[in-house]
Amino acid sequence: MKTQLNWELNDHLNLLVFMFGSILTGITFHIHLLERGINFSVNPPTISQIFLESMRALGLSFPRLAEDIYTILVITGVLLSSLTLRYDKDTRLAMSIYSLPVKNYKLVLTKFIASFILLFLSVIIPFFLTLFYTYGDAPNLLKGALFGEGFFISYFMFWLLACVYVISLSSLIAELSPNLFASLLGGITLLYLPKILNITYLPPAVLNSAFLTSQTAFGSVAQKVLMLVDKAFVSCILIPLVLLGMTLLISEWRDVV
Amino acid sequence: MRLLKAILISILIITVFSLAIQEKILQKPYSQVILTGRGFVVPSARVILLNTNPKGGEYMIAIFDPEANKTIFLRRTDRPINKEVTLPHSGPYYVLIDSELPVVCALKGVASYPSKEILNIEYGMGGVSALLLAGIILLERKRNDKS
Repeated sequence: MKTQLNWELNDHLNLLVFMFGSILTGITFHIHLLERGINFSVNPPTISQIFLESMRALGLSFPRLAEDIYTILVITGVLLSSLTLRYDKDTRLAMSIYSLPVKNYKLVLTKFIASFILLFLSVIIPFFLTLFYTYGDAPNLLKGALFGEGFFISYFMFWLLACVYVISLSSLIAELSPNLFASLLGGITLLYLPKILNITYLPPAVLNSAFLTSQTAFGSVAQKVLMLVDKAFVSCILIPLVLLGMTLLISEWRDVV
Repeated sequence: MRLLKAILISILIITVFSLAIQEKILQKPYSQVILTGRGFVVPSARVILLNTNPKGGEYMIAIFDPEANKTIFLRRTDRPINKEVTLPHSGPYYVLIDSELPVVCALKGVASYPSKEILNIEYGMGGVSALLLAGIILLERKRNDKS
């Protein structure tokens, strides 16, 4: 399993998609950061209160799942999971992989984990890099916002949940579809549908609203993170787990076709 | 190893594009109107033109910089102010208006530019990732030659 994970993470095509995704997200994050400027009010205007509120405002001005960022995330995620789960079957390479004396579901689980790690890295590295490139000249406030106010762990959880949702749905589509093309088309369509139909209980809408409500609530950092997870529990933890279970079941039932 | 190389190449390309993008985007006009005490977050260092329009009576206006913990502009007067103020870094600032009668304070961007620290960070990060990448490639070549 470890060798396979290593092998999947160092695959040429996967890394090409990873680079495509991370460069596009990085540029989009930087554009969002530079175009954004938000106002905040402080009540009462004492020095300590100004400090606190300015750190909060700084944290809230970081980019979240805007339309273009979500599109890039979806395309990268679908490409990654289709390449790992479907492409080897199309090129007949899978014949030699799935005939190894390892259970099918273990192979598929490893592929799932590999594509998840790549997608998550392709979002989280550009996110903190561009943050540093924009607000790096205010190091005290940036540090205060990320660690003191707990925005680091909150944004980490936020992107983790988004990546879990994208990869789990696209893996199921990749496992079900007859070839690479169908998997790409089906995955992108299904992931983009909530955006077009304006469904508020599926990402990206549910994640954005969960993040805002949890951050504007009063409480400690742990409470805020728990509230974020709680608000997005059904769509970003329960549904992905069910989808992952279905993917593993289907991989056992449906052999290499 | 290949994953590490891919990450370094991505960081390098993002840095190059960031340098180009910030020049282009920071040329966009910037303005805002402040009626009472209010904070604002700017994404880059800039020079702004502060313009007030008092209804009469003495008033006080100040801009506070929470990063350096000091007031960068303070004026107590009963006349309109028309003055350029330099915001030395990106991030939040707070404008305090103390007046009996309403005062309209308009901030208009004159020039926006990435500050020296930001450019240092960007060049440093790009340079370090390029050096690391070169080091890894050289090491790999040496190992391949041996075997």
